[in-house]
This record gives sequence, structure tokens and C-alpha cells, in this order.
Amino acid sequence: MIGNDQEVVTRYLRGDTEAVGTVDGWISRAAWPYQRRLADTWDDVLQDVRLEVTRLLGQGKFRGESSLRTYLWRVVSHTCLDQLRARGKRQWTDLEEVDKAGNGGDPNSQSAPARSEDRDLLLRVLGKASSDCRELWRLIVLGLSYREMSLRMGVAEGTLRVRVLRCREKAIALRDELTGGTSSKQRNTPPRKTPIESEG
Amino acid sequence: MNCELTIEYLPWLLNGTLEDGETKEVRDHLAGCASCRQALADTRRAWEIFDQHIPAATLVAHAADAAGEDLDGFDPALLEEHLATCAECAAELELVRMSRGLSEDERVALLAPRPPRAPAPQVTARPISTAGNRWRRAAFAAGLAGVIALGGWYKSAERAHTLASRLATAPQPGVPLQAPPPPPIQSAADAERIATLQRQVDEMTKTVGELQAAQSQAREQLAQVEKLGASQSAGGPQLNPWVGDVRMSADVVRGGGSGVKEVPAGSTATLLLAADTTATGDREVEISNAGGKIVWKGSGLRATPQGDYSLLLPKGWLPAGDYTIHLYRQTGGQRVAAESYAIRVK
Repeated sequence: MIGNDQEVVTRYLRGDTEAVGTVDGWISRAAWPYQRRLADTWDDVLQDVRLEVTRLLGQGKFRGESSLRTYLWRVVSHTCLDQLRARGKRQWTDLEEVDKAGNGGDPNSQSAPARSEDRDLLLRVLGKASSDCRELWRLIVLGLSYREMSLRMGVAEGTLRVRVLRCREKAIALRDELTGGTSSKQRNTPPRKTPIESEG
Repeated sequence: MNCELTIEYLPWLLNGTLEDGETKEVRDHLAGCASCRQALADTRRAWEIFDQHIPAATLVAHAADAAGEDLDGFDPALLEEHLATCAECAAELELVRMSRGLSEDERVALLAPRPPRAPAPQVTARPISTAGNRWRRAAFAAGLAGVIALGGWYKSAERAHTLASRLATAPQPGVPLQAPPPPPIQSAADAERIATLQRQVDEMTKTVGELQAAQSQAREQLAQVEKLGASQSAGGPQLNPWVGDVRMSADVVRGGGSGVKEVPAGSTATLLLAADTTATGDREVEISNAGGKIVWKGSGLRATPQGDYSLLLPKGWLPAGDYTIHLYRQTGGQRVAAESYAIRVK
């Protein structure tokens, strides 16, 4: 029987069979709820978790502020959530040529400021967006085409595209409002037809 | 493609779902249109806004629910607001909480994850046969053979036992069949009941014999009555005729006491007269008409064991009218009136 958590960590790092079994058991229990959603990559994710645990324990990150079991749960959950989000995250289409034409070469230069923005600000902007706009953009982020969205929502394709554009404009305007920046609507909104005209 | 349509297509250009022709047209337009490239940058920012979620570390810290837990610098009110409107973050939070619960509660038994499926063996490559494998195969084959042999032995033994039982119960050829075994000994109660029934049968047989004798006697008496009736029809009534049936009928009249009893004139009538059983001895009989004239006299009328007098009036012997039957008895050598009965022949 292993005594305290520090002893478990020490013996685990030495490769003690009992300590490894104990830690692995705790990891398996904590990771169990994520197994179904990570089914096809489950073994790889579990192995990543073990490697991360070994790395953190080896670097002395576990300081005993909580029990080792709780600490492992945090590591497992954090790692598995990251994996889940990485799977669901749709990568932007590579637009390297377009970005080069725009700013001289750095494809991520335009989005970098947005990524570094305070997440609280982005969540506040999102919180002020309408539920319709959030649903429209959720489907876009999930990877649906405008034709699929049109069929699903029972809206004409032209109307749908205009609605999405309006939501984008509102979100950017809200962000600019919160940050005190210039409204992007004034920057890049071309003259356009009404939604009814667009449907034709 | 113009700017308007290009800007509308930008979100789907980013998620990669535009058709090839649309993608090419949008790309070509963007390459030469700074305004639309700015719209592309805004579309990316909008994407990030709408794809914003609570960081994983914050969700885990929130699920830890420890007092004074730092939410990684996150505004708790904003977190709650987002959780209320974002189904994805809410679902992830539930996963994290379940993970914590399973981690801390050893009482929950978890099913072992299914092991990864082993790659399909190569068809052409035979597995390497080692001594251990051969031994295991031989042991399995021997065990299987043993099971089969054991089953066969059991079925044979069962069949042999069945045949032996049938031979034991079958009759031997050439040996006469034996008489069936005697019935089991009766109990004392059965014997007593049989004796009682037997006595009842004997009594009933005796009664039948007596009835047959009485019937024979009645037939003889009836023949005598008919004979006497024919011979004495001019001579008058017959005293003490045998009356076998005392039921009321057209030709049997019960009389006695007060009142007039009607007697049919067209048939032989037998009168049953209530007798005074307190006085013994024979009675003399006188029949007088309504005027008091005695039309017939007789003697020797005796009471039956049932207390009746019987008197037979031949058919057509008395003409229609009222009559009185007087009975007398002998007491101390003197004739004394006993009973009288009024009849009406009609």
C-alpha cells in the first residue's frame, strides 16, 4: 500500500509497478467520460495524457495543493477537452496567396490581433449577439455549406447569405464599440441590395 | 464576381464548402480587391467571436468548485452567462464534472474499454507453430474427444438400463399367465357396511315376497267378491268385505258421524263405517228407508284392525232414496243400539 501522494509520484517516476498501476487507474477513471467522443483516437489521447502526466510530475508541477488524484483529474480533463475542441475546430481554408497580396506575406497577420484579443471581450461580444446570429455562425463553424444551411433552415440561399453578412457586421460593430475602435462597417461594406432583391 | 457577392461568400470560403468554381472566382476577386480583403479580415474576426468558448482550464476550475478557486482570471458572471447560452460549453462542463465524480468515487465500477481490434491476419501467412501452440491444440482436441466419449457412454448406459427394465416386465414365452393377484384385504368398516347392505337386501326380498302373497290373496278375494256379488245381488249387502284400497274413490265411501253420505246407485258400493272401537264384538246391521221400514237385516259385522266396518252394497240393490244403517251389539244378552249412519242413494 502506497502512503502519501509524494511517495506515489516518486515511485511512479521510478517506474514502480504498483505506483504506475495506481496512477494509471486514476487516469483511466478520470478519462472514462471522454472515451466515447474520442472513440477513434482514444488510445492515442490516453497515451498523450500519460505522457503529459509524466512530464508534469517529472517537472515537479505537482505541489501538493490538492490531492494527486484531483491533480490527475485536472490534467486528464484539460487534455481531453483540448483534444475534443481540436477535433471540432474547423480550420480556415488556406488563403496564403490572398493574404500575401494583402499585406506582404504573413498569412496570419490579419487574424493574429483577433486571436490575441482578450477572451473576455470576445465572450462579451458573443453574449450580446442574437441567438439567430449565433446559430447561423455555429453552423458555419461546424462546416455546413450555404446550400445545406438553406435547406436546413428553410431560407433562400441569397437571404441566408445576407443574414450571415448582417450578423458579421453587427458582431464587428459590437467589438469595435467595446474596444472604441473604428466600425468596420464603414470600412468594407459595399453597397448591396435588400435581402429580397438578393434572393432573386 | 462582384464585391457584394464575394463578401457574402466569404464565410463559406473560410469553412471550405464553396464549390470549386465559386472558390476560384472569390479568390480571383480577392486578389485584386483590397476592400474585399478587409472584409475577409472582418469575417475572420467574426468567426473567432462566434467560435468563442470558455477555455478548458476555466471549465475545469469551475468544475472543481473549490472555495476561492481561481477561474484562470475569468469573470464568473460572464462564465455563467455563456454557459446559459452555449450548449457546447455546457455539455463539456458536464463531461468534466462526470470525470471528477468518477475520479473521486471508487464505488462506481467502470467497464473496461474495448481493446483495439487486432489487425486481420494475413491470409497467405501461416501462424508460426510453436511447441506451446501444438501442446494447447493437442490438449483441446483431447478434451473435446473426452467430452464426446463421455456423452456417448452416458447415452449407451441409459439405453441399456431402459432395455433391462422392459425385459424384466415382459412375459416369458411358454409360461402360462398367472391369475391376477387377490384383491387386497378389506377393512373392518368395509365388512360391516357390506353386512348392513346384505341385511337390507334380505329384508327387501322378504317384503317383496309378502307383497306378492298379499297380491295373490287380494286377487282371490276379488274373485270371491265378484262371485258373491253376482250370486247375492238379489239377497242384499255383504258384510266385512276385504277392502284393499282405502283411498277415496267413486265406489268407496267413508261414513260415520253426522251427515249424509251419498252412495252411487249405478255401481257396487263399499261402505267404510267408522267403528266404535271401545266396544268389542260383532254388530247386527239393519238398513231402513226414509219411512223407517227395514229393508235389510244382517249380523256378524266386525270392525277391522284399522277401526272400520266394511259393508258392500250390490249394484242396483237399493233404489234411490235416503236410508239409515243401524248397528246393534249384544250386551248382557240384550240387543243394544250402537251406531247409525245415514246414506243417500242417488
